[in-house]
Amino acid sequence: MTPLIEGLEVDDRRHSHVLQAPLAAPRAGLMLHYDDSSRDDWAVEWFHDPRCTNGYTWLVLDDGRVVELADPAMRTPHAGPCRTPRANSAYYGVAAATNGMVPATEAQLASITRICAVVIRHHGWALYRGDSLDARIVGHDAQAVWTPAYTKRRERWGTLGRKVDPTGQRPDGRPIIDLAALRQRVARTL
Amino acid sequence: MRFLDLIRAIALGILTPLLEKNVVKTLGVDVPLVFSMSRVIVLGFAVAMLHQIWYAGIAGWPDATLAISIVLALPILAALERVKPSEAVAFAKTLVNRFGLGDVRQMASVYGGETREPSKFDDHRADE
Repeated sequence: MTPLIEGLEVDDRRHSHVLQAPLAAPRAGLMLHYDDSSRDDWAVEWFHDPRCTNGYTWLVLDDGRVVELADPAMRTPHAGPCRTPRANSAYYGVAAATNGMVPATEAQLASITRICAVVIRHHGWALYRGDSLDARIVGHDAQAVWTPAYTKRRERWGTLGRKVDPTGQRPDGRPIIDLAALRQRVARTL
Repeated sequence: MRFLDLIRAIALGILTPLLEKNVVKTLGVDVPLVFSMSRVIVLGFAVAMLHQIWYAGIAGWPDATLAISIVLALPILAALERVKPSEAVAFAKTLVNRFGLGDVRQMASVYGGETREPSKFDDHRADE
């Protein structure tokens, strides 16, 4: 199958017709997540369950294999209400298959770095505009805002803090995905 | 009449697990059915735990231990009536201490309300 984004090699394509929809806004970057899974096979299977109401463009397994869950030209329900309007469309959703206790593996980080670099090159974001990677590679935690659908506490509405991925909240403070370090890795590969 | 007998039999069958089995405890009460408070409490815990497992899953050993404890609650209660109470309590303490330790990953809870950890049940379709 011809890759939809040049240079992006994926190990498995499992496009789901349930989770994807046409873009409602132009792409602006990539949003990183973890999916709260404890086993790779279960993680992949969940996205084909009729009860599943979230999804990512790419899911990166423990050994670095990349599963393309949706057509990259379509939006997936990975972000929800965010500081950036229509974030599901504005950002590609990239998730490491892990949970809030287990940091992403080196293989996962390498694959996520590769995805970010290929997508950024594909759009020409960094090469031609000189944009900061801070705006192009974002964490769900830095974007997700509270809304009445998620909390009854009115004072929280519109503020950040609805989600903690991909940094997580491990007791020892070690991030599940260190976004600053990952941006540096991506910058070195561009 | 037969229909009423059938209904009565079904109702009794459903209620039987919740009835007090210790005759000594029922002797002083002049009612046809005596419910066991401990059995009703165990049922409450079981319903709550099943609800959590069904909608949010088991996050680690502490959750699993609670589920195991609920299953073992009735046998342990029955044992309490046959052996020395201290022996049954020591057994339960050993069991819970053995398995109730360990890391638990943060996850959604049907009782916690707002959760900030990602969950497989997240619905992020609305992004306006």
